[in-house]
Amino acid sequence: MPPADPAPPWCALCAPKRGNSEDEYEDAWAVDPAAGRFAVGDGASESSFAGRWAQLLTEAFLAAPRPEDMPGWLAEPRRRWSAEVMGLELPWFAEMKREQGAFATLLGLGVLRPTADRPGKWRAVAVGDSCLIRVRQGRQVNSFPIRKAADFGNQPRLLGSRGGPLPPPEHATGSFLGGDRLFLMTDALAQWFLDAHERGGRPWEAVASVLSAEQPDEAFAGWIEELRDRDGMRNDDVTLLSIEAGLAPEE
Amino acid sequence: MPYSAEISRTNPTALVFLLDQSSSMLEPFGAQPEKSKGAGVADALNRLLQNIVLKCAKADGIRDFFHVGMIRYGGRVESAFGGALAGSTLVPVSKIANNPLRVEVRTRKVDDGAGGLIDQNFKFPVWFEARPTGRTPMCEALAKAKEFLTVFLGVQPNCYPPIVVNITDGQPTDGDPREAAKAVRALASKDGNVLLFNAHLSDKQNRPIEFPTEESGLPDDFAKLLFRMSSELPPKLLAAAKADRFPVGPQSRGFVFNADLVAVIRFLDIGTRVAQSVR
Repeated sequence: MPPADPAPPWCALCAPKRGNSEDEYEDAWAVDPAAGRFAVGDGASESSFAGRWAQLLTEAFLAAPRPEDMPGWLAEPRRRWSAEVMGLELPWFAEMKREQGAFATLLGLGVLRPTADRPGKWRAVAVGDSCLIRVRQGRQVNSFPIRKAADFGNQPRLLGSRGGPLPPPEHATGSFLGGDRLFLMTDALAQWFLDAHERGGRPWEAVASVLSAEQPDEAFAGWIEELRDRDGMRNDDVTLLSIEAGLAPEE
Repeated sequence: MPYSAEISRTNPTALVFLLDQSSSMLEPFGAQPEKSKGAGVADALNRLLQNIVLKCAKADGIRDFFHVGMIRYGGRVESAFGGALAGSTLVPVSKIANNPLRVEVRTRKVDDGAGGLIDQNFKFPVWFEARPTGRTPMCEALAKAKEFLTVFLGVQPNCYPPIVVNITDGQPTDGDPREAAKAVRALASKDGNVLLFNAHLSDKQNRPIEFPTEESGLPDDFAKLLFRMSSELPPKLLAAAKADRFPVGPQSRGFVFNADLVAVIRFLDIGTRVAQSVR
């Protein structure tokens, strides 16, 4: 007999900003499919040690006993970030930059997968402009926390590694039905997706075609380059986490 | 849309600072009367350079998003770089970062968390020191900036338009600088015309004025002259200024009176910005 609530099928894809090396990629993602937890983060390019901070945040979300209590679990990744970087010998400019701290967005998601007996659900927490997009029955699109392509800017709300004010996290919940797909995207891809949808397109079809490619990593890299050239997608690190409900679509 | 080119290591832009070091800069600076205007220029420039370096600093080093030039004008017009960079024209920001004249340790008062103040040391890199002397050949300095940027634009024709920042008390001695300013602003990359911004350091103790939309409220003729020479802020810089709560309007110009232009460096888009309020 299969387990009562098996982990949902998922896939993660990422690409660095054009002109940057893979080492310079400053988004992050982390998954614990068995626990139904997924997270993406986006390190702010104007801060340093930001990729590492984004990674620590996503991992801390997975490990948090109460993930919705962000002020409660934020102390641990902050402590780890400091322990890793504060002792490093650096030139004056890198030292000053480190003093300012690293900054990143965070989008954390918990899912309960639907079964034949009951619908599934999701709960998300977000600071900043990394987005959760749910596509249902190939038409219905819901997005959180940014709802419109025009609402993206270059000064999102951010979590700092060295204390400072904590922007109030945004929370959302929703149903997760058979046939649904959940996408976690960092800002450039989410903005492209919402813009394409607002123009009447079906951007999830392009995403699905990349995910079903024989080599999704390669297909993703090529597709992102194409979006930058063809659709003027903002040149930025790009991360996509896709989670499927499985089962047949429910009417 | 102009002024939208990406600023990157493969497509850097240029920043050129013109530094008035004429003898009138020995007079007291209105915003800090214990200092001379010349020392005010040096502080403003060193702060600007530090902000540029930090904007480009990452854990593994400096990303060369900008090439920077410094021209001093006081008696003569010459490169203001000293030390290892003496005589340089435009240098990548990584070289600036690694070659200050010295890094001073200064002290400031900070809140001790218990209602008192304690001294805290901080590093202050110095690239430029004030040595006011002679007359004020501002027109010649603008012509020198034009020379630097003509070469740069030949190499980087697709760059975000270079920015020239002139820091002065606004009293040129080699004629009306408006024509020379116009010639600088007439230079262009494919993304738009070169921007000329002016910071006016005055001996007047008037309140600072930042990015005004018209000249009528400016305190004297020198301020008005510099305002007329200044480019309007392009839409993205204007939006960033608005987001940082500067009282700007659609015709705001890159001009400040008894204030610095550090904010302009902050406005330049090299990726996700960290809002001032969360630092």
